Amino acid sequence: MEKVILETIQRGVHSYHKIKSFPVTMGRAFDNDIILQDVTISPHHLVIDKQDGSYLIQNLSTENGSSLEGKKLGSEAEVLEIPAHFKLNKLKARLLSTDMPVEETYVQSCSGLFCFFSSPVWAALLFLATVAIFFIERFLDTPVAKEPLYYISNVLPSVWTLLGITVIISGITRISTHRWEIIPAISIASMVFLVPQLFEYLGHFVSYLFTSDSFGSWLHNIASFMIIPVLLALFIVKTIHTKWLSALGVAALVYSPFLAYQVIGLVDDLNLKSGFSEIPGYSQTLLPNDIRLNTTLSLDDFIKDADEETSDVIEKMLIMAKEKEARS
Amino acid sequence: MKQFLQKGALSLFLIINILTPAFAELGTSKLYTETEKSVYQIRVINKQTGKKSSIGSGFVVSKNNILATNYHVVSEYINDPEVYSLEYLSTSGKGGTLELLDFDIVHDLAIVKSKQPMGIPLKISYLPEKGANLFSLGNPMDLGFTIIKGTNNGVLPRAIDGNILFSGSLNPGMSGGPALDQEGNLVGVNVATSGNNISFLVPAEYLKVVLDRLEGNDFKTVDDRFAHSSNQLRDNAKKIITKILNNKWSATKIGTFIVPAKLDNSIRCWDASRKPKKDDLFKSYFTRCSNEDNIYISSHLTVGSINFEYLWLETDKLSPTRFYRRYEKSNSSVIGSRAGKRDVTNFSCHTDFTKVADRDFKTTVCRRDYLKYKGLSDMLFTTALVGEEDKGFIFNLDFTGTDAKTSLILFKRMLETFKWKK
Repeated sequence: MEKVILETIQRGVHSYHKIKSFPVTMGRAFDNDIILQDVTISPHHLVIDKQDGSYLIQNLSTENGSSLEGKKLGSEAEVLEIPAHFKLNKLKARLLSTDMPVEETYVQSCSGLFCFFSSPVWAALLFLATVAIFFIERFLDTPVAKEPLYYISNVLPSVWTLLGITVIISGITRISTHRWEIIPAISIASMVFLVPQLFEYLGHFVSYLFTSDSFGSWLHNIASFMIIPVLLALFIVKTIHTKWLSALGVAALVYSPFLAYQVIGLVDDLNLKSGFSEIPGYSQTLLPNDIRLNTTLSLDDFIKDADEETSDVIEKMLIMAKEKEARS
Repeated sequence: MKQFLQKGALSLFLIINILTPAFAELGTSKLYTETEKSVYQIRVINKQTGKKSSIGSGFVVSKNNILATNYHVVSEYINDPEVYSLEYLSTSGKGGTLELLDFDIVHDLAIVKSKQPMGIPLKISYLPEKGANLFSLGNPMDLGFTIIKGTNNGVLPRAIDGNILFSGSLNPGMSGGPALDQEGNLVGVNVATSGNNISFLVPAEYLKVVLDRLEGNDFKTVDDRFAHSSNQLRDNAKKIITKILNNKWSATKIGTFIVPAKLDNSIRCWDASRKPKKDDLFKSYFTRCSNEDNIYISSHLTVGSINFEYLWLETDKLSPTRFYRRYEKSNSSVIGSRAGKRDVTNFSCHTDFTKVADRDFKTTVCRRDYLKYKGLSDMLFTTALVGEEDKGFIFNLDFTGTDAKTSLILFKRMLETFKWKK
């Protein structure tokens, strides 16, 4: 009995064939030992043999050919070392030893406070917190007396969107893992709304704290570029159990159309900042609790600082404008 | 809104018909005959196409080859002499070229010269008493030379150097034409109209200042046009602000603050508070003051405005967080100017916290400078009360085409007069 396994990966499905004897023929014809149903595979595509303790691989396909460890195979037999990676046209296959260790088992059970992805309590809390944020935002933005029904009708579209995203995420996991994963989907969809909003609050607070709106805009940029892909990657790692690197790759790919949109916005923003703007950019944030690092200055000191700073900057701008004019 | 009388669009045919009866009067007709040979149409010509891009009027003054007109009539030529040239056209249809000698951008006057003798110079005289008849000459809408009878209604209150209110109907194309008294002496220069017989004349005394300067200078052409403009504009801004600083200001109460309102006769204040709604949870009061003045620089650029506004917000029903959402939305200020990237730099702003009337304010100073007019700045000041959970107060002040340092002094002085009174 041979201690060799042949793995083929077809349309994302891994198939394992225990090799009982050699030679092993692979192809689309029904007289092969391993039948591969793919129109790019020749009827008799490849043969693997064992002679004097060595494994030999020979390409039989004159159409799309085969490759071993990335190198195209000719018509001659070549020696292969286990574990070996080879391809029949683009179809991946591996020749493995049965002694090869497998990956560690992913422990699905989760306990403790930080298990917010699979715990229904966390999912409910995150969902309720997000709906509460929708209400709070609408309430804070309405400085007139309104009936509760007004807020409900205003918040409902956002809640429907939140539920819609939950269903989409859950549906995608159903297709890829054959599980609905409703609880993690609720958690992730809630966090997609909740976390950027928390960043906005933080940005607003920090802008006032430092008397500079640039802190807020940096946090805003981080929020719009990073949060959703990271949350998606976290979701993929926790529910589909892939590695972080590939999960981040998939998340970036899924988010790329939105990312492109964000990039266009950022480039426009930078262009505006580097170009001409008739709008004065100054720190406009106001906070009721007045928490700030800058102390209160006397009018004389303030006027002196303002005059010095603006005069210096304007002088530099005028020199730059002159240089630009001279160049053109 | 004032409209300059330079020819812009051909859309005022009705006004021409209404004007026709004015020619019937005998005195008017005599005046016209006596002065028509000293009045010309002034044309700014695009050198590339040879076509006129704007027209106005002008008249002989001081010497027989010297013509006066408005700065705004010839501003394209002054700002861009490579692209535009200047020509005249007489009542009899004769034409020729003109050259710039000097100008007064603040009072909208320009002096040009011709190589040929142009006629008898008009004599400058003082403005007669209010109610006296004045006669204005010019070439409205490029339709031919006309004379218009109207009434002198005195000099308008401006911070300094007001125009004459002429109750007669000036029209586009008459800019730069002479306004005469009954004896045919020059008392003003046509400059602008607001329609409905509300027109404006530049008092002839300012023309005399420019002519005296030229005479003292042997009628030498001005060297650096932009430096000449910016010096005049900056000096004027300094003069106005210094006058305001020396005035006794009237105060007004807005919320719990006593603040300066009427800094000068030229500044008018209006209440612009929003109409309260039944379900409002806060109160707001808004006062806006302005000198309603503009100095023409080019077709898209005017300077000389001084605007300030006070906004008071208070609540006893909104939570501090909710109130500050509303308050923060009001905390943004811009300058109403059409200056673009070819005119000015970007704004440079400085923000910090200051003590005003023993309360803390978040205060910002923003400045941008004109690229061609050295030393001329647009200034924006804004300050917002902080540390009061149920009260908000914002003061915005802005200047266009001013002297940065002098405007800083005025801003500081205004803040120093703020008083908190419950």
